[in-house]
Amino acid sequence: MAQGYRAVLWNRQKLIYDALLLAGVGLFLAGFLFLTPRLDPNADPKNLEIRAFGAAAFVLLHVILSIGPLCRLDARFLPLLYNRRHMGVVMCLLALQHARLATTWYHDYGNLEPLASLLVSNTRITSFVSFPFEWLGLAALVILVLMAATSHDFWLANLTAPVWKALHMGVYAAYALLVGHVTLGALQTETGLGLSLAVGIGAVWIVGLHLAAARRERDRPAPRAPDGWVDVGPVAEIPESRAKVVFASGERIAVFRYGDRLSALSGVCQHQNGPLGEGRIIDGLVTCPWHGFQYDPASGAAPPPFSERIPTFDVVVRHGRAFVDPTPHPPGTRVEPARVPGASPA
Amino acid sequence: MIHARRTAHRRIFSVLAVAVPALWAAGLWLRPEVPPRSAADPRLLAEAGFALDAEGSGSPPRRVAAGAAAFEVELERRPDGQRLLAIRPSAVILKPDLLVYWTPRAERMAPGGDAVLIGRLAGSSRRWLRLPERAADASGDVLVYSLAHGEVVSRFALAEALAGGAD
Repeated sequence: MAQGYRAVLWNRQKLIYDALLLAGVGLFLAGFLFLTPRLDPNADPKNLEIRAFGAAAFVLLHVILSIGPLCRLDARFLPLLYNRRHMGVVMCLLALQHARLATTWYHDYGNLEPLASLLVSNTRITSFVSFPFEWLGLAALVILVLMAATSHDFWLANLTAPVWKALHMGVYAAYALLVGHVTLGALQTETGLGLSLAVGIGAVWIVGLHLAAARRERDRPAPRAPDGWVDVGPVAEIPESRAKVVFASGERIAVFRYGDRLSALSGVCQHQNGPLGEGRIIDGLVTCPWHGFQYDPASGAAPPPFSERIPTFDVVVRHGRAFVDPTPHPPGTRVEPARVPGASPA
Repeated sequence: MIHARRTAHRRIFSVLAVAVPALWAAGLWLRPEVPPRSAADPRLLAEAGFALDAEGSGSPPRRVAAGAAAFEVELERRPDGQRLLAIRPSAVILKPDLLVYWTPRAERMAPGGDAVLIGRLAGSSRRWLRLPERAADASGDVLVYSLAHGEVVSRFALAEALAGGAD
């Protein structure tokens, strides 16, 4: 959590994650370079190298874009999300290597600078299938580099999570550009059914997964009592050390139950705006399921020496039902937890 | 994500759900018939009269290592008497413009006036090359020649290679 900046706060999980990631990328590249010449003996070795890095980056982008919605649909995928940013940086490096190899191989032997040659060698912008697909790839690469360069928590903390998230949603534009890059590039000459189908299935998978997650994430305002408090529902429905999430006043509120007490706080983690209401109480602290940021359930404050603060809300129990005042207290304000009659202390 | 970002995400993917599959489908639907992009494309070889496959009886494949390359070679005789040489590099030869000649003169180290161009190599694929009538007795040499570098990459005697004894 925030306590001054370090380049990377390494821990065992991150090391294992990165080792598996690099091993996976290495296996993909080796497999591609080993198998493709056997499937297509006429393939140009240099072109194979270019395609290997491009394919690795494109496949890894599919993996990265799948992780978010998969976690929304099934919590078992959450471990994949923990170090997703390193996956993004590796994907960007693979894409850069693809661009470097392609530019030097196809544009380094003329009388123009390679980048100038890349940009002016095809200017048929009024044609659909002959559109300069290199431009699409370059535009996507600019977005990916920008995202990789701002992926560190330094930028997250200074830009604030909402701005940082908005910037990093540029990956969706990059994905659309890359589908265009592949469709109007490689698929125009590689006419085999397998590659065309793979790109199409990948597109349907990504779009379908995100739509399914968006549908599940759709917020519906919770019912209100006559005094304006939000009806959270029966206290008995809230599992021990877990929360029930309601949508009120334009954002999610998480009502946590721990023993005979209830506390309500913002359902949005301050770190990356993760779904705090889907976390659980560990060692007496509400723990975000994304990266493990923790908050005191009564005050919404991270334990010292950390500095994160999130808003808290008044909560009461009436006739076995929990009610929340949707007006937030300033971040870090302690609110006395509501007592659950008849429940045992934690 | 906060509510505003979730809303943006939903709207973005409502657009992408239409745009991305449409882009993919249109790109394939409008894909032009691309002429052969490689001089080694089998269609060009077929148009030029080179045999692409063989029917008839033939010798078992033999491995021959000559110069900086190794090949798997095989001789085939068609019912009409035409003899075909099947040649496949064991590994991709990283030399440009690899042409294959048959020459009756074993001592020559470059294709001369009496050498006959019988085809070209592409990657590590097997090529069926039509031998001239003068090679009916499997005499002469096979030269693999890099046109761009102007050098003989490999040379082996046809008869010895088919007997499994070259180099």
